[in-house]
Amino acid sequence: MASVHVHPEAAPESRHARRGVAQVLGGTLKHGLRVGVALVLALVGWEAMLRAWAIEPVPFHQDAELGWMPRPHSRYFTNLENRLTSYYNERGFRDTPITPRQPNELRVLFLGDSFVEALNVHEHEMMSRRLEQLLQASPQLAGKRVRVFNGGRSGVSIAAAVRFAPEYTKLFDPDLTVVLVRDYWTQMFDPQQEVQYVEQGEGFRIETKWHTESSSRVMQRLLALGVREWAVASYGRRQLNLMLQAAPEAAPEPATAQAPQADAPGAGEKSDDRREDAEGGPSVTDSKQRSAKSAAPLDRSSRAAVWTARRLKAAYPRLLVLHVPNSHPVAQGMLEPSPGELLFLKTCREIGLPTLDMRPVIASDFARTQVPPYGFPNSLPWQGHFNKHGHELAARAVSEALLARPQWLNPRANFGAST
Amino acid sequence: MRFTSLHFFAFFAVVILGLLVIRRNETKLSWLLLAGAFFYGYFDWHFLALIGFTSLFDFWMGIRIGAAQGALRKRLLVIDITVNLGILFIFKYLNFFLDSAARVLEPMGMQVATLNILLPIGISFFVFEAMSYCIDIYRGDLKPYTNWKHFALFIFFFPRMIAGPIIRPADFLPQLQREIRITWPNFLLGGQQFLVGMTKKLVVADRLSPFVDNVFSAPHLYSGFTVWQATIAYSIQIFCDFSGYSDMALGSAKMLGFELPANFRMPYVSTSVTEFWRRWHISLSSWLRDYLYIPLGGNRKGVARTYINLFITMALGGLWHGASWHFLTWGVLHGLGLIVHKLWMEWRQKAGLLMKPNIVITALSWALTYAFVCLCWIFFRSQTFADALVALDRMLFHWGGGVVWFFEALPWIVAFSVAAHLLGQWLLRKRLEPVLNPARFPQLVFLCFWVLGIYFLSANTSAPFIYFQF
Repeated sequence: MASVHVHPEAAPESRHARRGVAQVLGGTLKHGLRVGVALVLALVGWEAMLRAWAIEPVPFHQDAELGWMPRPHSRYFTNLENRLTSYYNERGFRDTPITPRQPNELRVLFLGDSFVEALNVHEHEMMSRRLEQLLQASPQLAGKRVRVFNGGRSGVSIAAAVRFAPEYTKLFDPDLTVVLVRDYWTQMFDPQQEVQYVEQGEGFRIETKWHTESSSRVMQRLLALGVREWAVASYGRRQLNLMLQAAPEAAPEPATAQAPQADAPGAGEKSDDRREDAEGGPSVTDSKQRSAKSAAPLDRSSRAAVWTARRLKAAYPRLLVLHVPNSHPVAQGMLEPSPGELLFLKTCREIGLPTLDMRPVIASDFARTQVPPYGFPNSLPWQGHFNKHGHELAARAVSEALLARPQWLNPRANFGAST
Repeated sequence: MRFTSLHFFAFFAVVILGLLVIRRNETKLSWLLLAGAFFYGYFDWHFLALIGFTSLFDFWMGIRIGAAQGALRKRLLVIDITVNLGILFIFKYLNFFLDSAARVLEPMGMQVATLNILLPIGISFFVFEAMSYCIDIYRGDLKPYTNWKHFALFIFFFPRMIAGPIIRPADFLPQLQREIRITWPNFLLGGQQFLVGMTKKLVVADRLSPFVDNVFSAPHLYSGFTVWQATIAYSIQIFCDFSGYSDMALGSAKMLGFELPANFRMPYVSTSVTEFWRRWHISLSSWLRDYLYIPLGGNRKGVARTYINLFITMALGGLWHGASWHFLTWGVLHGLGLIVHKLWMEWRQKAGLLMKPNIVITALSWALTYAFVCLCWIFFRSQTFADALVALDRMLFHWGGGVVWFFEALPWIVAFSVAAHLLGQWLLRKRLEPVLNPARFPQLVFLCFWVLGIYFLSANTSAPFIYFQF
């Protein structure tokens, strides 16, 4: 042990100084401890408040087959958009249990992001359930049992539908697949995403990474401690993300009520760079950021759209693509389509992939009813996700599209014609 | 540099640190002056020259007016007011007048050049303050300051530089004579007031802002029910936004060791328009009273003239907010409201109908006042005069049609605002100013809970302070 040598004459002052320093250090430590304990108690208070009032985080886990999924049989409570509790099934989908194939059963798999997962509406209102009811009630399917599976996953891009096609096909054994696609073609390249596109020549290859929340050892330890399931951590992180994203938003131009024109000059330059907030709702970035960013990735995102259309067709032979445009409250309606969106729809038509574009459906319905299909009383009209009305619109549109072609309801039929 | 930004916290910490380290009082004042220039320049350094000119010109004019006698004294004051109002006119009103002239003259085939002059931030506040300095000297209420640094700090004092409160030289300048000290009690009291302001701004005003902005950006798309909600929401938003800013200004000044006058006193408990103006934006209404209404003759020149003076004062008060017809209409409506209230009170007095206020009369008076203030807010908030008329039409005549939206947060925020107003009113009446003492552990826990609450409950996007545009 090292000894301290002190000059005899300086000893009293040094001792005094040492005592002074020790006192200051001790006092600081004591105050720090007091503040620390007070902070912990305050956090405990907020944990209770947030759980009771705002949010109960979803306990996620890394599923060996399906990746970053909500834990089986868990639940999620939110009042960020609407106020309700959702329940997950044995594989982490917001649905009733995945049942094995029954005799004379038509099995439909509904894939997509949070719009399909539908954490913001009650189970009986979500588009997959309503589609099931509408098909089941149809005389064309009398005598058949219809089962529509909700395969929606919050926060994922359409890349997940491409990547997990083998797993989904095996798990759900669908006769038909409906995939909901939105305008998010840059999200495939987002390093935070679990499933990403990596450019390879003219095309892409898909890389699956562990979700960022479980990628580092520190995060894994924190996850093991259950930190992610604390409301203060989950909600606090969401607040931080939104604050960091927050920028004065330029008002996007309202969309036209007509169907998109694929060759509209300059159309969609504005909506290429959308970000999903923690709840999966779209947001519009500042126009300056957009114009600065969009120049380079525009071509890549458009190519991603084309590549995705071809991949989807190969992965799901009986597939209906349901396209849902993004909306924004400032625009008081739907946003202009991006080049990626236009190119995707054009490619789908060219390669014979049946598509159903919700843009004209929403425009005509809104002109008639004046009920915005997006937004909730605790958010804003045209903000975030589909509300009950939006789910109903989508379910009816899909149901009509399927019933209009009886051969589609025969699992052996080949698809070809575009709607 | 908004008060709610991390940049401001870093800036404020450096200012405080500087004041703690610097020993000489004059050096502390120089430090604060430098901080003020940095703070203003952070918004737009181009206009530093303008505010610098104002501080030099009015300082010099103050000395000249103080030294002059008789007619010269008056002439110098006229020059000072002309220059100050000229600055205000060029930067704030010239565009408006040119645009209005163009609208009238262009159909007759005459061309009017329009200019795109940028509005220097806080110009209405610092010009009024500088002007009141010279007027006070002219009236003999104040002696001219011979130390430019002191006067410049009056203009450049950063906590109230951008959106007030409008301070009087007699309230502020004497504070520079005493030693500037950062004390723990002041820091606690000021810090707490700052937190109150942050809560009002981030938790209430910014949460209401997206709903209000959406409805008022296109009122024709919404039902009357929705526009009513947006109007009520705006009445709370503007109060929490502006009084929140004032609280933060007063709080940060207090932490630095300065006292600024209160700008709001629970305005929505008012039971008459007259009372409302004694509680709303007090620094502006008292400035207009002392430097406009009273010089116009106030109530000393007969009944008719009193009403005319009142009307002119309020109309100009409306124009002070911005060069637009909708601001002018807002001011005019309040002027008419004040006149009607005065007439009503006089009629009741003559008719012998003045009775002791009871709960029914008080409730009716309150409801009428609040409804009137809300209807006036429509003109204040709308982007154009035509938009205001559309909103009014929706609210009063065309209730149906358009998007019917029930904004769920509104009843909670209304309940919270009513409770806060009543509590504030009670504290005012009892002259209580409760301060949390972190030395006591339960209070420290509450303080942590409060700070975390601002973080958890704040809206996702922070809108600029409404009064920054004035």
